[in-house]
Amino acid sequence: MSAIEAVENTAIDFNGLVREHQAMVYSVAWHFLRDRPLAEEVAQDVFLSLHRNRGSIESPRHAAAWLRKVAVQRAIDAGRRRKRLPRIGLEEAPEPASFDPRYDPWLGESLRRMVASLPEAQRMTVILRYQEELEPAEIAGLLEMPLATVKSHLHRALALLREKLERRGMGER
Amino acid sequence: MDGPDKMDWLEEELKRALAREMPPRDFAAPRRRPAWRAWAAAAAALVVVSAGAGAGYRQYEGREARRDLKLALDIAAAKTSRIQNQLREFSK
Amino acid sequence: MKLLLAAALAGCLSGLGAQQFPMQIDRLAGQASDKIDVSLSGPLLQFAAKFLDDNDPDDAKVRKLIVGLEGIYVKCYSFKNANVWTQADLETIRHHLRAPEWSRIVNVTGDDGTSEIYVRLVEKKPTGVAILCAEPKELTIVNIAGSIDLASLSELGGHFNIPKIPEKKE
Repeated sequence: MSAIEAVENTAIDFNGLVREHQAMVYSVAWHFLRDRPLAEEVAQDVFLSLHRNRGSIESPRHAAAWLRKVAVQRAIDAGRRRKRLPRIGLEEAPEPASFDPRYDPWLGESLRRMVASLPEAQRMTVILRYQEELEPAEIAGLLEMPLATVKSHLHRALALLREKLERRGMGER
Repeated sequence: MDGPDKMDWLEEELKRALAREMPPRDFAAPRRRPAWRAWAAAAAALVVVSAGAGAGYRQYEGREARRDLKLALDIAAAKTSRIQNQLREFSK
Repeated sequence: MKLLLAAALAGCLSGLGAQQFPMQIDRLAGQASDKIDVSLSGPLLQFAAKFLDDNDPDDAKVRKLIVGLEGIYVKCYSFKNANVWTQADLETIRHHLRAPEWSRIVNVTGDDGTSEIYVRLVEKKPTGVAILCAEPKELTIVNIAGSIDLASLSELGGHFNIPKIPEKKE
C-alpha cells in the first residue's frame, strides 16, 4: 500500500463519526443540562463544528477526543447562557409512590436529577467519570484543572449524593 | 473512585444512571427540510403564538434554521477562502 | 484579487430571494458518502436571523454579513473516492450559469480541481453570486441571492473557537 493510499484509507468518514459518537455527545449535554431540546441543539452544534474542522482531524481516535472536549465545552457554555436552570433542587425531587428495596426504578432518575443539581464543576466531573468512565487524570486534562481538584470534586459530589440518598431512604441495599 | 475495580455501589449506580442515550433524532440521517415545513416555520414566525407548545416548537425550528444558516455560510466562506488562496498562489 | 471579489458587492436589490439556478445533480447525490443540502429562501432566512444571538460574537458577524441577503442555497457532496464527479456533471451546472445575467469572474483550475465564482447582474447591479468548487473528493455548489461582501464572507470561515486537541499518546 502506498503512502497516499494509506492516507486516503484513514480519511475522516464524517457520517461514520456522527453515528459512532452521537450518543456520547448528546448524553454529555443531556446529563449536564437536563433539557432535551437544548441538549440536542448543543449536540448538533458540536457536529457542525466537526464538519467545519474535519480537515484538522488526524484520526478516528483524535476525532473522539476532540468531540468529547467540544461537547463538554459547549454544554458548559449552554448551561451558563441559560437564564433559568431547569434543575430540580434535591429537596424538590419527587418521592416515589412506593419503594421496593430489591429493585428501585426511581433510583436512576433520582440520581440523574441529583447530578443535574450539583455545582457546574462537580456535575461535569461526575458525568465524565461515570458516563464516559474517564480516569481522574484524563478528566483533569480535558477540563484543564489540577488532578487534586478533580479528585476533590468527585469526593464531594459522591459524599453529597450519598447523604441525600440516605436521607431519602434510597441508600445502599 | 481511583479505579473501576474499586467502585462502590453508588458509583456503579451512577454508571447505570448516566449511561449514554441515543438522541431523539439520528444526526447521521440526511436532513432535508420539506418545502411545506420551511414555509410553515416562517409563517409561524409572523403569527403571535400564545400557546406554550407552539412557541416551543417555533423556538426549536428557529434554532434549526439558525444552524442551517451558519452551516451554509461556513461552507460558502470556506470555498471563497480556498479560491482566494488559489489566486494568491497563482499570482506569485 | 480582493478587487475581483469586491466586484461582487451589490447595492440595493430586488427579487424574491429564490434559488437563481438549478443545482440538482441526482447522479452524484446517490453516490455521495456525505451530503449537505441547505436551502434558506428569503422568509426562512429572516426567520433564522431572529434566532441569532447578538451577545455571541459569531452570531453578530453572521448578522452583519446577511444584511443584504435574500437567500442562500448550498449543496455539498463528499465522496469516499476521487473522480466521482465528471466534467459533464460540472457542465450541467455551468449550462445555467451561461445565461446572459451571469458573468464568471473567477476561474481557477489546478491539480486539486476547479473553482469558479459567478456574479449575477441585473441592470448592472450584482444580485447574486454562484460558487462552484470541484475538488477531487468533494463538489460544492453555492448560490447566494442578494448582496453579500465576499471578502467579509471569506474571513468568516474557521473562526468559531474550536479547540485543537493533541493526539493522545499511548
